[in-house]
Amino acid sequence: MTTESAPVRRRDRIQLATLVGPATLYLLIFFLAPLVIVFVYSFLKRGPYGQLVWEFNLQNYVRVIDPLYLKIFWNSLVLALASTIGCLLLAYPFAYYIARRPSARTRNILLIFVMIPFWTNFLIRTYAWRVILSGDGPINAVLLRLGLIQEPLTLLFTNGAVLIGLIYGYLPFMVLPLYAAIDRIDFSLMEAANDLYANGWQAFRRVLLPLSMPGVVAGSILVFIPSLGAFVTPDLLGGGKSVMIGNLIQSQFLTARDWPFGSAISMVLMAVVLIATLVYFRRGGQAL
Amino acid sequence: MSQSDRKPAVELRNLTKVFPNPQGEPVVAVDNINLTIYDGEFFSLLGPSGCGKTTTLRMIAGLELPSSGSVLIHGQEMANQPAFRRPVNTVFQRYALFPHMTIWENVAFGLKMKKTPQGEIDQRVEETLRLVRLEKMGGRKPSQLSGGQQQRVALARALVNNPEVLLLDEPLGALDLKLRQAMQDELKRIQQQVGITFIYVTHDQEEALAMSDRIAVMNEGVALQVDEPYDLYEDPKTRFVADFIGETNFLEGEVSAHDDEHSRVQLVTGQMAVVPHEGKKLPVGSKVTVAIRPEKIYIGSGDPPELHNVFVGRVHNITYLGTDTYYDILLPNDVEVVARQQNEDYTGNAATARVGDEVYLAWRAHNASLLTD
Repeated sequence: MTTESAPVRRRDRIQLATLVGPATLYLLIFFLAPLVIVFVYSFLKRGPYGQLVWEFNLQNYVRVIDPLYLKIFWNSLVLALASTIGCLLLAYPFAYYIARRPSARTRNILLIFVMIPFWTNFLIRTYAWRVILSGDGPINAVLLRLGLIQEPLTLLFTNGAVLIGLIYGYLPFMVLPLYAAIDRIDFSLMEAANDLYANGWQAFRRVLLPLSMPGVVAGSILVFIPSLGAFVTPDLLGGGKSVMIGNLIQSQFLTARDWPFGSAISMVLMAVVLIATLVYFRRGGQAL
Repeated sequence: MSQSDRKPAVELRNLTKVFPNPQGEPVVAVDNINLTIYDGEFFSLLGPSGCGKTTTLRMIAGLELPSSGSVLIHGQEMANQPAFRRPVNTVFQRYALFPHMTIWENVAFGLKMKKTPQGEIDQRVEETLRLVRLEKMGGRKPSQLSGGQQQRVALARALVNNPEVLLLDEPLGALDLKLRQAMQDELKRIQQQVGITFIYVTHDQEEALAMSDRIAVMNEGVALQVDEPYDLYEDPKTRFVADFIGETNFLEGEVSAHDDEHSRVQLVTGQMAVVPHEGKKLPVGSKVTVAIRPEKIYIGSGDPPELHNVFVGRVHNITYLGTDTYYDILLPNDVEVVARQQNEDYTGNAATARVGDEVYLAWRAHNASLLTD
């Protein structure tokens, strides 16, 4: 039992207020308040000119269950999952290598490579992908030249194009937490596993992977959540053909001017993300 | 125990390991080592840090590949056997216990990888945990155990597989002194109980002397001398070994004559030492070093004993150490010799010299060694 004197407790409170206070206040004003507004809007009605009608109803949530919208939800979930898995498969070996092998110099250079894309605006980079994937873009040009195809492939405005864009955009968010997690692992544990008759795969499966799970979980969440809500990437690379929830929400707010319905979809999206994250954390936690 | 009637467990033949240093230049970590370690032996690789002892051990384990030369285990060439196929297990310096597994799972790991039937795994893990006195700890995680207990888990995790050879890389290095001494006894007990060949890497000479059947002293990648503890201490063959194991006085000199058993060495102090040459008569005029342990030197005043080696010197400094006292004695030409005398024992004898006294030093010829390096 510790008995703390009053001044000590007061100092704690002052520290809490001065150190934690500003960020908390910021989030309260700029995150929680808009969230409450969206929550309230989702129960209102759209007027004939797009204005808000203060009439409580659940109609917006009923509309979300429409097969048309459910399909978009489903498409988004599949794409977000695929982009998470894609990022994981690409990032794990890379993160393993930089955590394990090279000199500090090589390691820093590789980490800078991961971060270089952030130096250019995301929008511009995504436009670049439009050029790369277009009918007269470099990929098609090379394939045509090699005679592997007779006509340009339709790469742009497909789910595949959106997936490529998502993986490209969020790969660094997978690499960095994985690197941090793998870097913390004592590699004599892998030697110990080898010494105890585990081959490379078994040592990975039984020792490295379970111990790097915090990085896998963190990276997956950092990729999955923004992928699920993405709207720039599907807008530019999916055209009208591959639509994700993000586009739907955007169009409800900006084009259809149906703020209540847009708010309702946003709330549902948040609920899906929250549930998915909780389930994942729980399963991930068990794997640790 | 004679070695001739025992089977070799591990043979190292011209084993060499070259690493690039951070500048990319090659550095020889292990330099052409030839060693045979016999079944059931407690064998130590002893040397200062960086001497290549751990690299040698890792090459036996398969965690490091030799640059040249070979490792044989029970006559089998190991060159193409990765670590996970070798019939050896290692106790790592910092234990390397799997932090996400319980003690039981840690110990069962090797058996599981070898696809041992579950019933046998359960039985052997239980037996081994009992052997290291941790039978009640199976359900805990490594982080919940003390250093000494973790050390025993690491030992159990290796021993449970019943390896042909057990490799131990400074396993007691992280423990405090009392615990280390207790674990030395424990390791020795377990080794005798299971009868497995132990190859033990340490930089602690007392530890090596206390536990080993034989010791290889290594320096700069070379195995300088391989002997039983007694011979290593009493009859060091090189200056490094004499200095690394225990304490030694080195007296420089020049061979001046021989008789049937002894060489006479003209010391730089102007005095004459008599040392057994063991059949190796060096040419007269050879530069040599006479090595003599502090505790083999008797100091006194009055009539000296009738020995070949009696010298006169002056007490320069006295250090009282409880059981013993160290006397620093100056010989002519400022050569300092340390003599170690036991303080008053049951006979009531004790050296009584004081700083500044003129005393004689004496030692028996066979206690000194003649070194050529």
